[in-house]
Amino acid sequence: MNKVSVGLWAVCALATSNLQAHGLMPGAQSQVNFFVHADTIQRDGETTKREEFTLGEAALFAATRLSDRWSALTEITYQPALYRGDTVKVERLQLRYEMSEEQYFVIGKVHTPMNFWNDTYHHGRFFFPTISRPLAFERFIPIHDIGLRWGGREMGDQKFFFDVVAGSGISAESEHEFFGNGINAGTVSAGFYPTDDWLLQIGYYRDKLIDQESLPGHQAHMQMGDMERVDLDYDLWAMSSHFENSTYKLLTEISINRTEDSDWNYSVFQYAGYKFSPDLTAYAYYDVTSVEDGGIHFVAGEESRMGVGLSYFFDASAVFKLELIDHEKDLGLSPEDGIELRAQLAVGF
Amino acid sequence: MPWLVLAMALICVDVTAAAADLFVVTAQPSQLSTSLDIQEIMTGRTRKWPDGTPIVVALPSKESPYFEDAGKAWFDGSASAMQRHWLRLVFSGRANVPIYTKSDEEAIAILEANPAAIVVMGIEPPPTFNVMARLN
Repeated sequence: MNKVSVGLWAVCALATSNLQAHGLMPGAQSQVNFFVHADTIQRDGETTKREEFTLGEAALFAATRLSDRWSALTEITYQPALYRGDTVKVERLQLRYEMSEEQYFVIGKVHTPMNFWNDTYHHGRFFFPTISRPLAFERFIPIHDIGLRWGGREMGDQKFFFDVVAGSGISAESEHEFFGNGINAGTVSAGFYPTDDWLLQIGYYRDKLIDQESLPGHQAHMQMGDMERVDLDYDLWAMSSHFENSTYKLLTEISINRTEDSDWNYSVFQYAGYKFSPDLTAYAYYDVTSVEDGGIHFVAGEESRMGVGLSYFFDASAVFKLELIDHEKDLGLSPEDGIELRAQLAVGF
Repeated sequence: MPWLVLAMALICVDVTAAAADLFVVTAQPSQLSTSLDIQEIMTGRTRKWPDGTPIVVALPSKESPYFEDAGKAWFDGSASAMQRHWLRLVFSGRANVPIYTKSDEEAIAILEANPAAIVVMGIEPPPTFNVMARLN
């Protein structure tokens, strides 16, 4: 990481912290925030230098109300080239129109409303209940889509909600060719609140993985010679249950998926947190992804994390998380098992 | 017996500073607004007035003398938790940016400019506005 990178981050932090000197911008209905985090991992086996200290992606978030019905939102992340090829990424870029008190349209790049986590936490680790996203996002669940989203909220006594997205799909985003292949993906999700503190949601995603071997989610198989380009239909179902009050937080995320040439794969993420105070939470979680027969797209095997952790907010701007994890990774030819101690400092201005 | 008169005066006069009251105020008619749960409004769970108008929430900013009191009233005693809660709602796209007020004058100006607003003040508002709740 060079001095320019550090300087850029410092300027962003100082600029937005000055704007945010009194919390969020007073008066105007615009908001600019800056989020950044740093992680460290210690393993009982070998720990690489990069794992000992990792500068996470910095996220610049801006939201503004343009009029009574129009609003805009953008989220841009930066991470030095040491950590990823695309140093600057536009994660969300949305224009929203309120059709009525309950329904809205959004056009642009969105987080797929597949489940509660993806529709709530986005890229600011400051908000994550755990240090990392559930493993399902590394293999199965597409985080983004580009297209048109129609949704509804707060309908009826049970606050029913729904979202429908017509988008360009995983293939377009990986190739940075927005709609280069037309509309390939669709997301439908719906849910309601059985009680004020409890949300239930179900989602379905359908996509055509174009040239699946080239996609980030593809895990290499042993193969002889060059494979022909193969396009695969992909189906994904997800279910979320989120309960949170002043004392407890419970989050369940379950998904099943398959490509047209595979059996059903699954993932489970279960989180339980106890709040000693609004600032201090102790939690435990279990996170697993499993592929028995992944066809030509997913490598067979299972990866799981079982962890306990503490989360402490210093004030409105900073949170420290510490986790002790039993991590087992049995994918392909290089199984990894071990105990990890992970820590993260995340700040939001 | 001047000392007795003085002693009685001290007993009768409340020499302790009165705890500050917090007024939750809106321009909405009382028959529409008092049916709603203020906690639900301040935490963003209730977003519309009974006539369907979106509620415009105005919260005390960090500069406001009522910042900590608002946190105590609706966010388990933590003003920081109030900020984080709304930051998360806006960041996730689930709510519009709230307004933040530094003073009672700013709060009244917002009420005058936006009939759908709900504000938190430390003084009793003009009679043209409706006090939804008075918290000590």
